[in-house]
Amino acid sequence: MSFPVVSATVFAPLIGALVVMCVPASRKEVIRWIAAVATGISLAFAIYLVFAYDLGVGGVQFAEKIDWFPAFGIKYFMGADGISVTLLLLTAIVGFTGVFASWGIQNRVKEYYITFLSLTFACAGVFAAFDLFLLFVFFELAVLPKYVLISVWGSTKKEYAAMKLALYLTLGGAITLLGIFCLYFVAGINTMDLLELARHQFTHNQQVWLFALLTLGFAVQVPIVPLHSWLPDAHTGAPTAGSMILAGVVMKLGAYGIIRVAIWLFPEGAFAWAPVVAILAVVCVVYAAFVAMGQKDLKYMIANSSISHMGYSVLGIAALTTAGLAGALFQFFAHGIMAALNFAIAGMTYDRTHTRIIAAMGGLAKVMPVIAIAFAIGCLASVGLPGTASFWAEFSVFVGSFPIFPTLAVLAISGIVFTAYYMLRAIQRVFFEPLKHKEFANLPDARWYDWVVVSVIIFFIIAMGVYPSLLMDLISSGLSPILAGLPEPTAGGWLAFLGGVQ
Amino acid sequence: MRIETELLAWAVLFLPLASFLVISLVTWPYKKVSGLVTVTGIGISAVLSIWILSRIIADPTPVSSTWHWLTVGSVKIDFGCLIDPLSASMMMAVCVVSFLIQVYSTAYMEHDEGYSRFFAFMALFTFSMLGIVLANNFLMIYIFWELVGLCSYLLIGFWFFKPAAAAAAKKAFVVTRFGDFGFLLGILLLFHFVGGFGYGEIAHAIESGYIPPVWLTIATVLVFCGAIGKSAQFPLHVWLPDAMEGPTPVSALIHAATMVAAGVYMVARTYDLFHSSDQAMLVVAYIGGITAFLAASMAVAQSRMKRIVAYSTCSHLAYMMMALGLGGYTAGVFHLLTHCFFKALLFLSAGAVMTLYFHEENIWRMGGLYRYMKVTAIVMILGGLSNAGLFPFAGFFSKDEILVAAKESGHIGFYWLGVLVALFTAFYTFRLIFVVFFGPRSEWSPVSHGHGHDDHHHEELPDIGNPRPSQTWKMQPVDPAVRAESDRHLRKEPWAMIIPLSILATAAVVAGFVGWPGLEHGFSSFIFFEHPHHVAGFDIPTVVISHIVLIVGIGAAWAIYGKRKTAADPLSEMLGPIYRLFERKYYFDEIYLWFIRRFIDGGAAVLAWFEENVFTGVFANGIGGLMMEMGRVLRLFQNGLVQRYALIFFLGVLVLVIILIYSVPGEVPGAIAAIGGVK
Amino acid sequence: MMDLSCYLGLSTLLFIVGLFGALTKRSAVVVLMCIELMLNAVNINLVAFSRFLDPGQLLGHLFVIFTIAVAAAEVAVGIALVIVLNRYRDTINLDDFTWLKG
Repeated sequence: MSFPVVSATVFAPLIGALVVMCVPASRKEVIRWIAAVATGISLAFAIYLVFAYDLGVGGVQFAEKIDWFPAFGIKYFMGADGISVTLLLLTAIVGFTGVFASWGIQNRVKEYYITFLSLTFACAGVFAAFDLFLLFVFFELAVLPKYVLISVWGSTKKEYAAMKLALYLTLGGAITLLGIFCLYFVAGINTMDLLELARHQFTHNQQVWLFALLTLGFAVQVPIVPLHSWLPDAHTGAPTAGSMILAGVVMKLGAYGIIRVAIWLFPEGAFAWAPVVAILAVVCVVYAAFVAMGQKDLKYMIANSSISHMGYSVLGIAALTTAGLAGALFQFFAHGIMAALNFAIAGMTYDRTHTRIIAAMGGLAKVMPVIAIAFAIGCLASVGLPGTASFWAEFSVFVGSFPIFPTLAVLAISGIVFTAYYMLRAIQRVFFEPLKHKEFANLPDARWYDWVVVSVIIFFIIAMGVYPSLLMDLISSGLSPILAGLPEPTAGGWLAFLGGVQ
Repeated sequence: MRIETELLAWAVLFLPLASFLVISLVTWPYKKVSGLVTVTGIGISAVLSIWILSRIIADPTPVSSTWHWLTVGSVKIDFGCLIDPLSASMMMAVCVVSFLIQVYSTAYMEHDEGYSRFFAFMALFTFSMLGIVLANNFLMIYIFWELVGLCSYLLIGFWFFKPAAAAAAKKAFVVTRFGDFGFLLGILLLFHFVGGFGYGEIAHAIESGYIPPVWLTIATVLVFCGAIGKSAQFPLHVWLPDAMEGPTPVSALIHAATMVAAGVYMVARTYDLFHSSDQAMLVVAYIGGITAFLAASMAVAQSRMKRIVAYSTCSHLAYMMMALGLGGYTAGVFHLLTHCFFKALLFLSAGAVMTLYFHEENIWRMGGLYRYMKVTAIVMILGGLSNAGLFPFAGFFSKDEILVAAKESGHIGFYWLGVLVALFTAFYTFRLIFVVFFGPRSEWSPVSHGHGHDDHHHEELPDIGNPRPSQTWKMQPVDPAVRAESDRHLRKEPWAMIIPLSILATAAVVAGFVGWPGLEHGFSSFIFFEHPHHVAGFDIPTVVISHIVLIVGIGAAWAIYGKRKTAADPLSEMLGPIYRLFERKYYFDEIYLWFIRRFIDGGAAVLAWFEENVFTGVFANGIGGLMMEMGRVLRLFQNGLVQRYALIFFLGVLVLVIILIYSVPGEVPGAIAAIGGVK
Repeated sequence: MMDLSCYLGLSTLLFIVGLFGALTKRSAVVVLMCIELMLNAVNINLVAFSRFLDPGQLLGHLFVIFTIAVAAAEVAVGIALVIVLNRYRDTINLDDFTWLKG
């Protein structure tokens, strides 16, 4: 058997966490470097996967299959298709930069890094698992470290936020688990192997209800609007790196589940529910944009803008076209790194000014130019400016969803104006204009570890903005089996009355 | 060895980008080097673009080259360039004007601490603008369109520590983004019908009738929204005057010569599309006509030098739009090119005045400056004459062509509108020139407190707007002796300003000759739509009418301002409330601001409140509260006694067993199956 | 001839005795002993079922050995807990311990 690259990518952070456990808690610097090396190895493997994945062959590559609970057909089945490769890269980037964004933490460093690395490990595992049960295990494994991260190292209302997150996510997990059991028994072929399940033909009714059940469970994690209440509190309460990984990776787990499990296994169900999902997606985009506009706290604003941006992804998913789904997945990546950058910057300014209230800052660009430039790039990426990865994501979602849901797509596209409005206003109020408080005049600019965070993320934002084919081709190849099961997309459906284009 | 034209075009495009990268990654700590990098990079681009233009003049066959960029599903996205007479001329204009402005900037920005940043952004801007010019498909033009918007944002907000600049930058970006929203929708709509983004594909689809006429009109108008935003046309014109908060070279390059011209260029570039829908053409013409008049009238009552020129820009762009909308393709494009030169000239000379004159911008603090800055005054008067359209200046040829086109199109209303706008143009241009350069020195002129040429030691004076003659007693005049002392410190123009100004002035004077009516191989046989537009000679009535209004305009300006005794605007009391309407820009800003405050910010505040109190309060915390209540009841069972727990446990098992026993034998008991039993 | 029901009766008796003790006795040691009684009742059941319903197979016997091993471990832990409790509170009366209440 060849070297298990995928497992290595996933487990490198966990091994890092185990090594950290053996180091005395007083050796903070050593602990930080171990975490950096562990996530760095993971990142290196992820980059290797991007280039080693053979697009000509396609499908699941680097597969590792070991029986786990043969009685229930549960296997340790890890592998990577185009989608997994992309999202593993995302996780690795966010994990790696998260380690550096946490460099300044002084409180319980050892425990912090153990928790953070386990979280990275669990998230990466979700994207690499091709066994439904294994996927679910990773999915749930991710909840606990999040709870600990927020409740121990968080700020403002941290206990409340942590508890809310844990309750919402376990609720979502419970619904998902129910869905998984139902589908296991309904399929009745005694396997949890996604590839085999995808070949099984479910009846139309089964598809409709199982899709609903699973999507409901996953929607909590995305989050889709009526289920989103945990997110702003959690993102705001979490420590910097926690917010980064929450917004960058955890939000994608749910949407990934929808694509990987719900749509792949139940294409007809997806088709039946698509209009509902699309409406909710647009509600997400517009509602969250307005809520973000009304926020006074920088982190709350970014958190709400994340919900809005994930709305684009969900719209792309609901369109069920190649461009829509590819855009949605590209948005996972683009939004993931961009949100990580924005949260990192929010954390850096908070560490220095000790406030997150937008109106209390002002004129910081003169004091911390590097941070200001990085934030500007992050904001412009959220605005979907060409040259950043987000542009391709949003554009692709629009191209994919416009013919299917014209009216909804127009509403969603209007989001680009609102986003520009509140993002640029935030830059203006935080970084531009004259310095508001004299005590901010001597704040330090980016430290070396801040430089690592911003330069790595900005590199990927721009690189994927200029050369999107690298990931887009991977994503398209990963999507082809999923799309194969879908019925031919048609405009409108029962939404045609909202104004279809011929 | 012959170098391919497209290779040259790629070089023209990417040299400025390379300059940007070099500055931002390497040379940013070294001011002089950064300036040199941009000037060199764009200089080479300018030379190459002239070379390309000469080749295209020799052989006007369009050249194109395409790279495949991205495939998403059935969507193929290309990165390509199209070089034909239109894009070659525009590329030349952009490169040359940009180059001259970079040279000028080396002097203008000399003492600015953001020197490197300035040149980096200027290079990036030039790159983006060239991208628009060279693009051969809608997606690519959209991409560069947005990048240009970004550069505009960065450069308007260049002095980000000034609240006005920061606000203006945001305003420009958001307002143009509003237009881009329509642009994007238009592109998506076209893509939906055509299945591609290329100009050629779309032209072909229109010809073959793949697009239903209604949708074609809608798509065209949506695409035009982009142009409305970028070219500051009514109703999205509000950002352009505020954009003057940026450094003057930026105003000259971006907000006069090139970026704002992008909207007009785009309409010309995709004229196949516009030409196919009469309704869309009318929309273009009407928007152009309305804007031309609004902007010209607003320019009459402005007090800040750059804003006057900005409204003039707005009005001229609208003129071009009107021409394009009325089918005067050649006329519109011709005016676009000549306007590039004379408007850049006007801005740069205004900038020169301001630099030399303690960074003062209000024309009522100037007066009689001719004596101190003769070169600037002369080039500015040349630019003004071109702007107003005097024979044989460049502006004359292109403007008259537009009027002729309006006449030929049969929309005689537009013709007279054009004449009216020309009258306004002559008046406000010379109002500016007479107030600034002639007459007595202003009683409230700024005074230098430094020595020598240090122009950083000046105090921020309050904005006096347009002083009303009857109210000037309220203001504190400057002691004439102090003023005379301060005047001795007025600098002379540096060479880095004189040279670009002279070159632009030459262009503003002579560039029109290529469009001499009846010329055998003139402009109209080089750039045309479908078939060359040959004109036998001057349209004498138009020439006469336009010169009458020109003389009336200049004469009125001289009568009102030339002989003034005090620095106050007599017009303000002659026109009364109308003047106030012009001065306050028809209250557009106030209306928009009210709308944004009320609906956008208000809506956001309501939703944020809803999210925090209703949603989180009732929905999320309410469910949490319910759980807590249940917990309170269940807590009674929890007494900590292990044996009691075990008893409850045992009873539970007992109940299950009883259910099991009393179910029908031989089958899986229903109740058990319900809680998830086996099959 | 002893049939299956005799064994089941014995084990039921044993189980009930154990259960009663486990639920009512105050002393932790006695409760532990009662738990052992219940486990042994189960063991008798297993062996009996194995012998009568599935003769020739050793599956039930195997489980019994498994249970005995687990029970031994459990007692070891249980006794250790009792000793610790005694050390803390000087008593092993279960009614005195309500820490689970939190």
